[in-house]
Amino acid sequence: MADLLRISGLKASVEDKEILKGVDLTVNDGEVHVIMGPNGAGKSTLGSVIIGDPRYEITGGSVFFDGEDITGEDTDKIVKKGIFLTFQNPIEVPGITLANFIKTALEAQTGERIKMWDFKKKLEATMKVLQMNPEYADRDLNVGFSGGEKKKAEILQMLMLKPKLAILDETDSGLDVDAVHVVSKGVEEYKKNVGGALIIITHSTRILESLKVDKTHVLIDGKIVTDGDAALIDTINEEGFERYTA
Amino acid sequence: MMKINNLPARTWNHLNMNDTSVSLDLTCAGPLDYEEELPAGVDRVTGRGISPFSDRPLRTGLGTEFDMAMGDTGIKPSGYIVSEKNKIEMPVYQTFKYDSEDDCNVNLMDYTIGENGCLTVIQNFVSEETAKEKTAIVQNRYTIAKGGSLTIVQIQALSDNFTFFSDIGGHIDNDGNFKLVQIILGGGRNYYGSFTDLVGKSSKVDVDVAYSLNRQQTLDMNYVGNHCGKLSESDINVSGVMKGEAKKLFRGTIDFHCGCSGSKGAELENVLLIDDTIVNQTIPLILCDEEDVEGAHGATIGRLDDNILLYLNSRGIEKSEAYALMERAKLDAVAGQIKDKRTRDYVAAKIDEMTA
Repeated sequence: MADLLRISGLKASVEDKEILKGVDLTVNDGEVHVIMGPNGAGKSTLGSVIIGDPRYEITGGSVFFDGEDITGEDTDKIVKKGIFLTFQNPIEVPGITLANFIKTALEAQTGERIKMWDFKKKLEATMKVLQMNPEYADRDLNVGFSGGEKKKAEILQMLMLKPKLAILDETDSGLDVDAVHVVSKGVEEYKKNVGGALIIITHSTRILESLKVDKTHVLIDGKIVTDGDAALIDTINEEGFERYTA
Repeated sequence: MMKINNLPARTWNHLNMNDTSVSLDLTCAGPLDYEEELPAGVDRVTGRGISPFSDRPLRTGLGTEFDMAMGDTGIKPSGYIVSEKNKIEMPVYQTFKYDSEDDCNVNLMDYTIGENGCLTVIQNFVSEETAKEKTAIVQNRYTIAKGGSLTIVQIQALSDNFTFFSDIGGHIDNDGNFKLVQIILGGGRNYYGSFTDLVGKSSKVDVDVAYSLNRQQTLDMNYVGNHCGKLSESDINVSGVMKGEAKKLFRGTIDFHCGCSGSKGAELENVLLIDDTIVNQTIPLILCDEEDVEGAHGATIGRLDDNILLYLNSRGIEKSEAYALMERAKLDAVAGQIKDKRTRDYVAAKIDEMTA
């Protein structure tokens, strides 16, 4: 399998505070990687820096995607290459419906006008997979959505945009068992139909139950301190992060 | 020079917001022969169609000087009368196509809504993009009797060569209501004013305005909810987007007079600023001569929130597209207030054209 994402010695700061202190990570086509770590380790920052969040300053290292150096590029240009990040706290955007937002994003990605009829059909079918009430399509983006509906809306966007790499930032946090099940089903659907790679940032393992994890990484204090296969998840669950923080 | 859009209570002169001076040559002014679709049940008369139910002078938003100047033109108003209990389902469609060689067109419209009568008027102002410099004036005056209802929808998509005046004012009796929806997409120099005299108990006015200003367009506004009747309500919402070197001045006044106990008024302005070269002025005013009232005003003025911009960027939507999306959202929100589907579709197409 070819390199899809290659991060080398990545350092990033926010307001002069260094958060990432030299991260190395390689994700190949179609692989599923899990990033675990205690609160404040820099897991979410890593996702944000990959997509070029301007709040973070990259102070060292590089990010290559699909053979191209994307370090420091604008967010919209990076994600158009095929990267998708789910937000931990999806933003409410009054005035723009969920459907219009996804359609605009798809058009931005392809550079072509999308036929309304085809789009609606596809959107409805995808919402059905996620057990979303179709009325949500015409509601303002994330406005008044419950925590679960917001996370489903993120997965819906992922399924519609079909990225080569999806980064799920604690998509399962704050969800009840049923909602996690639905979100997991959406992730499975992504793997089955899109076949893209996944980086899953998580504290829990519920979302991983139906996925074949290729690699697990432990991020502590801005650095990946250990890597392993799926078995590392169980080890962490049993022993916690203490042995890596000492 | 004539002073228009006078603020009901003056503020510091150096702010230049108390009123606006305009030079208006009405010597050659004549009415535009507008196209109309008139539903059955509306009586059309020539001459002042207003039958005031009180001896109060009828005031309009652009002000007394302007109103008098309109009277002095000698142009006969077009009157529309809806008799009592007559609820007209279909709107009156009026299309003002400014394609003549006239330098100045003035149209005066009067509406009298009888007790429990109901009418919607949709006014559409259009011109060719290449139209010559000209002035277009439309004045709408109304009286709404007990339980009556009048809705005026104005869609203005004139070329930048136009100086456009929209002057509105009227009385509302007990339980009557007036709704005004204005979508301002064009015009080089725009002057809008609306004065609603809430005379009756539980009378109500709702104003929803959306505008998109670009290049060197200007917009000067004055909206007044004049509360006299008990339990009267006013709600003024103005939302817009400013780009280029556009200038805008919004005056919004909720005026609670002695005796209007239990009344409520709110005004809200929401402006999205895109370029640094725009000039944006706002003066929200709540005047209070009565203790038992509720008045509120708020404003959201600024650039697109960084978090929203990042979220849109994270889905591949670049900054300019993100702003276009938000511009569209603001216009759509007000366009959604229009109940008539034909007009809604027309406005959607116009907004598409503009934001494409």
